[in-house]
Amino acid sequence: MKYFVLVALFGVIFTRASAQEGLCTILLRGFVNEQKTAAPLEFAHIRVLANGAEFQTASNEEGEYQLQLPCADSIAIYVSFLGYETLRLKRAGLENLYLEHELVLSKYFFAPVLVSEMKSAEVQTMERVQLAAVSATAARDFSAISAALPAIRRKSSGSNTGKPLVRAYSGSRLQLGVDGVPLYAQQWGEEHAPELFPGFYDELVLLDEVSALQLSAEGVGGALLLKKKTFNEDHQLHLNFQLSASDQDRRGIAFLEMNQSHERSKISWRLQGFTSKGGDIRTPLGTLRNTGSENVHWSYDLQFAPKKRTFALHYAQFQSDLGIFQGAHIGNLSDLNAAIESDELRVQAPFSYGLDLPRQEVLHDFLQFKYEEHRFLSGSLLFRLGRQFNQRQEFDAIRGNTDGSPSMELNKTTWNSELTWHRSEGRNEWRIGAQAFTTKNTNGAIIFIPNHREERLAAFVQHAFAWDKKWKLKSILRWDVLHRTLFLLENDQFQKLEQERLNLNAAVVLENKTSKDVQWRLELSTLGRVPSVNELFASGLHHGAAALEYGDPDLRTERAYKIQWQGSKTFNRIKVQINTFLHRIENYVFLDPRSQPVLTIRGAFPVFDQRQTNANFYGGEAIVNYYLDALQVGQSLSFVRAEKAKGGALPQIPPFQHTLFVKHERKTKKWGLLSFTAEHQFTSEQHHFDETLEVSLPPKAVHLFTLRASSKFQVKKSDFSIGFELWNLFDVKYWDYLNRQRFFAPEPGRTININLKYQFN
Amino acid sequence: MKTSHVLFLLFALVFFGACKKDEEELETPPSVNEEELITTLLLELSDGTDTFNASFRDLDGPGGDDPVIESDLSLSQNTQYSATIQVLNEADGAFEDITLEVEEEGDEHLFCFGFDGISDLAVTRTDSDGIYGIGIESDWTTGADGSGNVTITLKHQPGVKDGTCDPGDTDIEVTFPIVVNQ
Repeated sequence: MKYFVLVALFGVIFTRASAQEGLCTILLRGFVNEQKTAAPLEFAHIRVLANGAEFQTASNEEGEYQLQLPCADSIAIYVSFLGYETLRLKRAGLENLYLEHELVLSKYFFAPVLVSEMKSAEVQTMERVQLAAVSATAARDFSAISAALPAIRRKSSGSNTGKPLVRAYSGSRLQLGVDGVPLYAQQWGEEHAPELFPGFYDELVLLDEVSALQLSAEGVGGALLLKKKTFNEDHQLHLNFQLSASDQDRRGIAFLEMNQSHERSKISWRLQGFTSKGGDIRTPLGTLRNTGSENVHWSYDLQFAPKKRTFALHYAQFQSDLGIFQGAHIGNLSDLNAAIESDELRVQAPFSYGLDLPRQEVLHDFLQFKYEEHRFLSGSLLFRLGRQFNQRQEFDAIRGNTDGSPSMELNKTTWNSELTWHRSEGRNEWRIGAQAFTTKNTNGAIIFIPNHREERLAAFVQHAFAWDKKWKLKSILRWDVLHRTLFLLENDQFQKLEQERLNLNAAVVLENKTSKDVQWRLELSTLGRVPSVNELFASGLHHGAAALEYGDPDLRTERAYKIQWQGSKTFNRIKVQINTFLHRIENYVFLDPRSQPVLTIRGAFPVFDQRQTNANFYGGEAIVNYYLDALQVGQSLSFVRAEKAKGGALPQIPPFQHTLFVKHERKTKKWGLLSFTAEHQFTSEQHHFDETLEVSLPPKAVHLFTLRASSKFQVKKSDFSIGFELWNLFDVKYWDYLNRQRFFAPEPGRTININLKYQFN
Repeated sequence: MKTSHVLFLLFALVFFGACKKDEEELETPPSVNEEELITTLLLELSDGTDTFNASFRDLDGPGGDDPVIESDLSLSQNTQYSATIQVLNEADGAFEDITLEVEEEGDEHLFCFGFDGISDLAVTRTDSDGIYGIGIESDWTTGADGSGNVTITLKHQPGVKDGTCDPGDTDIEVTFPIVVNQ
């Protein structure tokens, strides 16, 4: 009942509805900079439409501008600069605003960037990736896109599934969000990818600690947010169509998007659809049997924005059917050792599109309703209500199964709601909010983890204070209450077990803009993660790792204490960005091996228990970009170290990586904008590891080379682009340490990607 | 009613709804489609006169109590034996003969035999799935004397069976001591 008392308390805050009228003018301030170099743009033209009147100004030498405007329910802002794409945005004009605009060179606008190109050519910042450019070419998976940022790597479990790994964190330590809502997929293990197709969204952001904590307290390692695309303001029908192909798994991809805003009805809509089909993956050792996949993803958005209010509905569905490499399906430790010692694939087969057993089907439904009242208690009010349904089915080649039913099925239904009040006045900005979640998780086949239900209530207070143009302090305080009911099956009877956890979380971010060329940010935070159900109650054989894993119901809450510093400096044509971090996590949950294996009728298996230790994490990332007319030279590097406080490395920590690229662009009459890129990526061997925690020794260092070429041109109102990529140019045979099943097969070999894009405006 | 009241009620509805619903679903056991548990492997060798047996029993499955292994494989040199394997589920007092399913799905299964410390012993599978042997029935021919271990492995090879022990995953792997006397 204590949750409901808290709910009621928050209700008191929000039911004091007394809209304050009378603000007749607002101050609009802003900063315009060039996206590639972050340099301020002087004489950028700012045009604002408010209440049918037009206001104009230009940015000063520091890229700043300000305008006094009449109050308006909605103001349209246009920021333009010669040679750059005009930026259009819409805001409620009921309170003072401060906006930052990054202008993009028009010639880059339709760049057909391929997924693997993101790591180099598109790395301009530490924390955000523009997804509009990658759109449907970002077809592999969410993790491949995320790895564009130096802090993020791709952690995979087999050849065709991957998930993002932020510094040293993935799984339940990494919170993924879509448009401000945490994504609730299966978190029963470390093996599975999030159910997302990133091309449907506008931007991927690695959130700072304050914003991450507003999303969720569970992401003790960090939070990634996918931002939805905004609607165009020109009331025209927009059409995007894209076809891509890859020879590696003979994959074909198609993506279609339509969107339009209607001026009179104030209704905007967007429809997106994506499908892909690929077959067995090719490696330098041969074809990986049964590694094809089929994906269908579609979504619609509907928005109604009358005066003072905005109603928005978003629905997305993701379906995936993917095969699991038959050579990775093992029975016991002997099979695993044979695979580790073998120089060949355990199963050899010709290429096929067919999906055989074992395979996996995933369905994720994501429905969200959002309501914003732009004039509420001298601020604005946001309300969210949503439902997510996630189903994962696994079909094994088990003896006696003739009806094709899944051998494992997990169903997870989550309802979420949020009420947040926001007010910005002068140098202060406030957000006070409450979030509620209920989750039901059931097993449809064998009981893999106990059926359980969770109710979670969170409340937060967020404040930002800007001393002046240079200094800004952001802070957040958040309380989380979790009530969990587990249904444990004992002697054919369900026994209820109830758990309750209370967490207090906080974060502070200090930002400084010393000058137009020097900026830095210091982040301090503490967060708590309640151990997930699989960590508490796992009991059985993990087939992929050939190990018995046992949970511990008495695990305590993980508590993270984090310090991060990020800075950037621009020297004429060179821009340098550096990020460093030091994290301590108390009660860090990890799999601890027992000294003796267990003998079963299937042979001997190593045994792992979920245990807790205090652990330290430290490292950093750096990006250096050099611009010389049509030539760009860029490099990025990342380094992470993770150790138990009493000594000993933790497993699956990314080894050092360095990427260097050279890019040349020139405009031609015949071929439009031509672009050529050559890239080298070095991933070192992981020398810092604990043998007792590793299934096999870390693989050797690897050098990969990639070439890319693209052409972009415009015909009337249509834009066309064609891209070509040759990845792993020398067909290097290598194994990835971050692939938990690396001992079954090497990574893919030389790959040709082709991309065609058409956009009608 | 003001908008804020409606929103507050909707916000709280998520909680109140969850308290009452879904209890039945959470307390309903799933329709199990689990691979049959194999607890027991029995091996019998006979030369027409004498019979020798070995057994591996792990009645509570992986983990829990240690398995019970018994073996009296004390054979004679230069002798041919007929061997029969039986695999059972004896958990919770049940008696389910899994051998029948292995035989029925013979094109997906293969028993393999490995010897450690004893080299002069040949095994020939005498049953067949139509193309390859299965190994439920086999002939064992001893040579010179010696002692060591025999490891019996049941490989599950759906779609990849080629007569060798390499493909597929392991359903059973048990080891028994064996002696070939002079």
